[in-house]
Amino acid sequence: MLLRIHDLHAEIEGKPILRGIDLEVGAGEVHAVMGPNGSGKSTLAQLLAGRELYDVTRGEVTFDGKNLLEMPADLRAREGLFLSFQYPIELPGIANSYFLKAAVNAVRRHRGLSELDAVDFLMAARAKMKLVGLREDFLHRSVNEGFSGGEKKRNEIFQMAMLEPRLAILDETDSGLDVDALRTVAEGVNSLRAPDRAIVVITHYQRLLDYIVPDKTHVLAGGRIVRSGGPDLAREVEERGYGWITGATDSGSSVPVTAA
Amino acid sequence: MSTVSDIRSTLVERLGRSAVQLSGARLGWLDALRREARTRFEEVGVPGLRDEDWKYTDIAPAFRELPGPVPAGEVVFDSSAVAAVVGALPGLGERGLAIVFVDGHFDARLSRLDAGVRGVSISSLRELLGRDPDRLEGRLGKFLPAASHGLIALNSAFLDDGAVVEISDGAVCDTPINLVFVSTRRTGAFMSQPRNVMVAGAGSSVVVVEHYVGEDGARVLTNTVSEIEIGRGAAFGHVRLQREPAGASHVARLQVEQREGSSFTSHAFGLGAALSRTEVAVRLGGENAECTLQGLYAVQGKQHVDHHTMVDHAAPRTRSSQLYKGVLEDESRGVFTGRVVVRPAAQKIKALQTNPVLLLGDRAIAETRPQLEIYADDVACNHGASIGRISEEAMFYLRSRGIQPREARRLMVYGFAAEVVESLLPAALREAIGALVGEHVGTLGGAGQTPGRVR
Repeated sequence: MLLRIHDLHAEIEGKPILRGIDLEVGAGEVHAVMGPNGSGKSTLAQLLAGRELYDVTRGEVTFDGKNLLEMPADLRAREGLFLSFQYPIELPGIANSYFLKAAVNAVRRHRGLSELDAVDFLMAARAKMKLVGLREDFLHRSVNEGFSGGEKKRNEIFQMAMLEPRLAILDETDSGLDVDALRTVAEGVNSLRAPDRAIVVITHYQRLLDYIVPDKTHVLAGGRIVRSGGPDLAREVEERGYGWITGATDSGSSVPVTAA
Repeated sequence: MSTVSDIRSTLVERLGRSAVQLSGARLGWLDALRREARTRFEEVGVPGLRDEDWKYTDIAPAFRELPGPVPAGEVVFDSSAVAAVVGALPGLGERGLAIVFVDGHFDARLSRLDAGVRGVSISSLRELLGRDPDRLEGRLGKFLPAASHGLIALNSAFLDDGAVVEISDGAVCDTPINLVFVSTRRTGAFMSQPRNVMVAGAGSSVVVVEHYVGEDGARVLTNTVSEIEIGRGAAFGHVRLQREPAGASHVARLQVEQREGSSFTSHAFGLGAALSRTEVAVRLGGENAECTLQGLYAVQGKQHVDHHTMVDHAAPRTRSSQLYKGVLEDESRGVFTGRVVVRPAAQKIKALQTNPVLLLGDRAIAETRPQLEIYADDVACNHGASIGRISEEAMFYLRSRGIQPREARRLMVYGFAAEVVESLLPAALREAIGALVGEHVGTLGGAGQTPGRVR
């Protein structure tokens, strides 16, 4: 098992958000995690990546057999965990090329590989940029500055391609994307599937899962995984709404699953 | 410890003794200029904390050791050591134009004055006063305010040497002209008071870089005044690199007068010295003149850095834009005062000013004061300041890519500081200074790899 989450409870400023998550993801697998707003999807993603805002009150997470929760965020990344952000932040004054070269080399050093020099980096970058349709001038621009939503998400997938993670968590990668951008991003992700790599796709809408077809689907509601199944579970949830799974919740009505 | 009046009387007494050794000693007009300045200094002394303009900067400690100027004949130094310092300056290289001063006095061996371009003349003040005594009559101090503060008066009272740069009408100087002021580790505290005069003729174009550096341990008080007159339609680029040694004090006044249609771009870097105060005063004296004033102060430990800008919109359709950025580590202190005056006749002007500051240390303090005095009614003026810490969200993003906290922090600081370098021209100078800034911010908060750009 590449990722093993057991009875994970977490809160932010005393407010519980994750109330006992159990999840196992094996190498080579693609898992989808769906859920209504407020279910804890992004919390789970950020917590796994090491954001210090959240307090884990119970449970364990092992990554490749190691205790993930004990590692600081940057170590998790060097160990091979990658998070594609839902809202990638802008970093004015920091060029995409400089930032990514620093990141790639940090990971390579950790893996005992030689660092890429400027030329090698450029060659590798150009090849991967083609994958997600980013233009050459992108490298000189500041990270995400002035990027459209689609460009930001493509930048996330480009980074994933360059960092070659063991486990990639995609946090609502489809939010804010039109169909074309969605397709490009999905193609990029699909090209990165590998037998030794696991991908967890977190999404509110089912549409993305038509392009990135998961091996397993989980529904997250009220901080817990309430249902798991195969790729068809996503379709069922789309047809019947989240309310069908969660039953009567505190917030009342069922929540639609298809994009408006 | 010396009191304020001790300082005043000692300096005045030194003035009397040194009068004979100062350059152009027999020139009546120059003698009168120095006397007037001396009287002024005797009247007002060294600025104190009760002076509104000096409210946040106590300059008296810089005078505590009663430093005096080094007489021309007493400058002694290891020339290869100083040559190494000069050679390492950004943008200089082996063929850069440079006029070099050591402990306040011109050194011909270290200088390279031949631009190889017609209409570009670089000379030392002392030499010019000897060769062409009346050339500067009526020009020295021409645009300085009548009631200058005590340190400007002090510079005038001890007026001795400095750089004179003259660009003829229409002349274009492609290579930056470097004015280099090096202070040595001589015994005892001393003052270095260069007086620089630069004139750019109508339609001319030039870039001047002032470097203030020194040997470790140099106990210098630099008190410098640079006067720039920019002719009609001329373009003047100016860079100040204040990188004085750790124990030094630095006070500077840059006084600029712009004629119509001219443009002035100033980049002021405040990186060194224990205590520094830099004033940039620009008068937009003709229609359509514009100025861009940018600055970066990045300090640590107990350094105190103060930047004070004064833009006087004295003609219609003039434009000014100011961007001063501060990075304050440890318990350092950064002060910015941005003053803009818009005269009644200065209609349809535009004045922008912003002062973003990054606090890295828990005990660092930033003071920021916009001062706008607007007497015209059809103007667009805008000012802003922000004081904050490195964004936690940004740090998390960098760390989520495997970058360690120290490196992530340096990247963030460099990214913040880089904006001030971006508008520098020419490109070679921008790259050299970008590298210097990268190296400098790398020293804030620890050693290690320094940021830069992949090109």
